Amino acid sequence: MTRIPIQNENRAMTALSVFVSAMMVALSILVLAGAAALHHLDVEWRHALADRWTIEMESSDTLHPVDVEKALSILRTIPGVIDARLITQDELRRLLDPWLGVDALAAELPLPILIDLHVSPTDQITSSLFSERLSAVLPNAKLDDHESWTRIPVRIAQTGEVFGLSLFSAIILTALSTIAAAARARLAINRSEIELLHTLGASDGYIARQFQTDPFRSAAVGSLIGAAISATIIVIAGRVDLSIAPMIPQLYLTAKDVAFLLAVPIGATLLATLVARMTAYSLARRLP
Amino acid sequence: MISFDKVGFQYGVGPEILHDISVTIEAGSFHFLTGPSGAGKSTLLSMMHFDRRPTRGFLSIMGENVAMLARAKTPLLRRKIGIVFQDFRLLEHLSVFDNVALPLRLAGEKERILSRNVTEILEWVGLGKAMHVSPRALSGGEQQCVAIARAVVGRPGLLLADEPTGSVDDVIGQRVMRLFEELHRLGTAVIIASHNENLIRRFPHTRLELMDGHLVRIPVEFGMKL
Repeated sequence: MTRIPIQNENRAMTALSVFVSAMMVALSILVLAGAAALHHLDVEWRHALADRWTIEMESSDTLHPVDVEKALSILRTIPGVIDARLITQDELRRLLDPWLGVDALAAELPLPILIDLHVSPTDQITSSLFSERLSAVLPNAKLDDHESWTRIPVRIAQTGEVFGLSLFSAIILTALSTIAAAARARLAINRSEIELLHTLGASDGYIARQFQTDPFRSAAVGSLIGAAISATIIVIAGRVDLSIAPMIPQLYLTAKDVAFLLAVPIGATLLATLVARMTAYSLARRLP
Repeated sequence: MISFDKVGFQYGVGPEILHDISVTIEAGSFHFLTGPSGAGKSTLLSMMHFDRRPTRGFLSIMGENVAMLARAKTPLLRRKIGIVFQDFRLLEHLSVFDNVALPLRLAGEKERILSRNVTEILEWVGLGKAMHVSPRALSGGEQQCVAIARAVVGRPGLLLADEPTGSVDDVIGQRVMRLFEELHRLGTAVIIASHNENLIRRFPHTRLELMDGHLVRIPVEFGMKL
């Protein structure tokens, strides 16, 4: 059916709709991109140390090398342990050099015995099992599964993810309310035209279709602008060199993330059209 | 075409303003609906256009029981009824041509046929040369002619007019009435709500008068049974 230009043109409202759509899409993409990058960080932090545990024992001065060898043998028999390896004193000193320096004083510091365990992350290994097996040979050995080190950054990353998704939900709700309000305003402005069409035999669906076209155009243009703005910001942010802060890994987005983010402007346009249509439809239904 | 049987109507929980209306309007008939202001003429017309449903009684329009009518079917029936308002209700941002073309576009008519029909009807009402101007550029009488052209372009079986001469002078009023009579001769049932006694006397047709919520009969001539 031919579209009838029933609406009085309102350039200010159209411009506002384009602006709001652009801002909402830009914010949504940036928030989702941030949440995705934090998610990767969270997963990396958790996985990076998930298969590496450490057994720490008192200083080598008071420990017999035979006991260490025995402990290594016992550890290798525990189900889920792929390998157990003694970290040599030279290796330990190299790891501590950046913090303690290489002077004589540092060389004299007593260092603990560390055993690096390569474990299978899928096997459910409990610390009590280690305590049981090692108690005879190394009663003072402590097991460090690194959870205490990763817990805080992982929690920060996870909080960031949740915050990002909450913000995204808030943006979507705000956008939907704004679109519905704009659609209602548009309908109020054109009420007499709608009533006339209704009187002449226009169906509710037809009236709703007339009022979805302009929101569709505004949302499509706004979404494209918003996507361009957010893409520019993401590209610039991606070029920031984080190597000066070695504890903070480089943030990144996968191809899957990019595909998902590209769906945001499309989804926003479709959602805006749908909301405008549903609003117009529900108001048309109130006519006799 | 239209059958009222003991129809009553009230707004919300207010008093009943139309009582026991019983009348049959035959196809191709011509009626004046008269009565003082506030008698319920517009309400009765709106019931004939599916804008209001009776609060009691039985109303059938074009063979459809209004009380049982599905909402989806109403637009299709409305397209078979032409309606003319006292205040014209033209869309000022559209040209005269596009205003008249509205019912045909709503009915999904092809542009080629639509263009021919609209041009024809505008020639008939004497506005062939004004089809591409805005209604704002026309006089009140000419705007009413555009409204009539819009009401009849879809060749409706029934034409309802609510005080169609209320906003035009007597000369234009008579011209408008002649257009309605011409339509009537072509087979359209015409119902005109008016309280313009001079005009009604000049065009002798069956008259339905609303008095105190009751439909009072003025001599039956043809096409109507009370």
